[in-house]
Amino acid sequence: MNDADLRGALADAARDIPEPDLAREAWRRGRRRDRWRVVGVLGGVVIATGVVVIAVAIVVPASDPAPDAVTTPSPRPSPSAISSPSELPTKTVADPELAAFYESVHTLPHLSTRDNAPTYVRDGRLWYGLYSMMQGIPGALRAQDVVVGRDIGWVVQLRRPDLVGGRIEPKGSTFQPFADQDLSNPDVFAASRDGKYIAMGDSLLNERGQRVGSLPPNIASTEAWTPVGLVYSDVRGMMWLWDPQSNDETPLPDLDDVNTDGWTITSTGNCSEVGRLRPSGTVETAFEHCGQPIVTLSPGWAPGARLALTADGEVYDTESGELVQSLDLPDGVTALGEAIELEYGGWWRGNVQNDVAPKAFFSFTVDLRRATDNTPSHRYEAIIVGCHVTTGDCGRLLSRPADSPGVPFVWR
Amino acid sequence: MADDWESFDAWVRSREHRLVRAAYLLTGDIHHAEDLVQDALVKLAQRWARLQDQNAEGYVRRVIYHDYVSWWRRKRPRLAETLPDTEDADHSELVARRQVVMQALATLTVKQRAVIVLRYFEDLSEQQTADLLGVRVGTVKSQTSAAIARLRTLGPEFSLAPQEGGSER
Repeated sequence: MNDADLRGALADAARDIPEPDLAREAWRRGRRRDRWRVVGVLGGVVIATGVVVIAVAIVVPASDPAPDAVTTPSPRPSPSAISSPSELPTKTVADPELAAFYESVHTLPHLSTRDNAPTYVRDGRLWYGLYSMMQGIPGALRAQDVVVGRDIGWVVQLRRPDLVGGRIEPKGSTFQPFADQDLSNPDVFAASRDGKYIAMGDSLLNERGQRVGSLPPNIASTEAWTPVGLVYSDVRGMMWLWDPQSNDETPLPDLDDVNTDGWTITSTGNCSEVGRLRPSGTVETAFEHCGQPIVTLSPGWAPGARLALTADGEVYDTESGELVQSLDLPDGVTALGEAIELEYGGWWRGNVQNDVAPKAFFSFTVDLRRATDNTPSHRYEAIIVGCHVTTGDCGRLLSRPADSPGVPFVWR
Repeated sequence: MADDWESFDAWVRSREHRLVRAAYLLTGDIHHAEDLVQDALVKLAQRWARLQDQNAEGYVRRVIYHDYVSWWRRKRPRLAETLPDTEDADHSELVARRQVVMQALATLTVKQRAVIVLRYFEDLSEQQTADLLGVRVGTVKSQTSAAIARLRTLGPEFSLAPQEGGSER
């Protein structure tokens, strides 16, 4: 048998393999997970953004809102108060701290551009945006992936040109590569909340980026490093909980998502559950909602999972079970809901300290893409809505602060 | 989104069959093969906007082979657990040959098997195989040599003679 014979034997052995049909399912699963990945990343962004917001709140008088903001004093708005799309461009919550938050968020221009929007880090802030836009920011470092351990700055992977893991200190853009680099699996990259552990490839690194051990051999990708351990997926998509100290691996129930605070979203039939992951690997259900699925939660420090956003724009208080806000999305969104996959991303803002912030907000974008518009001028449309966690007030983020380099949002 | 989906769909449809066939040669199990490719395509979908104009195929292959190694470490599958059903008597010879090949492949180490499939089914060069697996060319050569030596012990149908130089593409 020569080379050709072996090639022929292998070809024959695989000849009768039936033709698969994998594209649609892969796309559906990929896009769903992509959304959660963005949410997770942005959850980390919030820590940094919170620092910025606090600083802005100090230097900006409370009575000096964002230049474009309409600060009509309003009590907690009823759903109908922001139900008309035509009102949204000028509607904001009359809260100076929220206005300051809005101002800071312009550095995160548009989630719908994220596919072409590498993350950059400069001057202690994360920047998302169009590549062409970000090229104009001197000194910005392009981050391939970003995870955040509390108070430790950013743990990032940079592509230069190969992936390099390292740490960017909280106040600057100085990048310190890990002493040990493990690029065996770029999908495994996470940092514990205290920054003491970093998962990279097959390796467990310490806070100085030195290899101190191995990760579970079945790890295929990291999901979130929660307070009770690292949640990861194996190659079959099954999730596991791993405790780096005991080295125990615990299989988890089928979760739609888990965030770094250990809150989970689980779907069963037509219903979604919000729960809390326990060290035993069980999930304690806190809130159940039937109908449109829950797409994102407020994080633990905001306070924990207080609000849940559903795919049709409803915001629920997971403690009381009450509907606190209903965002009447534009007709186009509803009509296109089945034809294209609406994408929701969320990021959250809270106190960077361990104590619970007295005020906290979450905001999310609603990205609208016109499925019927195949012209080159195809435009993205988006709104960004912020909600006050403690009061439930919601309002639309002005799309383009005057000094923003971001792309304008279009509302039609 | 629609444009992304259409380009992704077209890309996958033009390659999925060959990818699954390669994965089958790796795993010896059609269901695991499809899962392996599916998981790689899920990861590709997450990165489609960035990768579609780059080396998407290289990315998918890399994920498949790395996941295969991880999967094998965990599962350590038995020899050729499942094969596609082929009841047609006309295919009996093909089935028999396939069983021989799959059982032979199953005797190789996971990396030897990956090298053989990449070199002799995917038709990658030694350098391409090394790049994809993240190893040196010398490692590919030694793994190939060891794999062929192993196959040769299985019977005359695998008395493959390494062709120095000539096998490099």
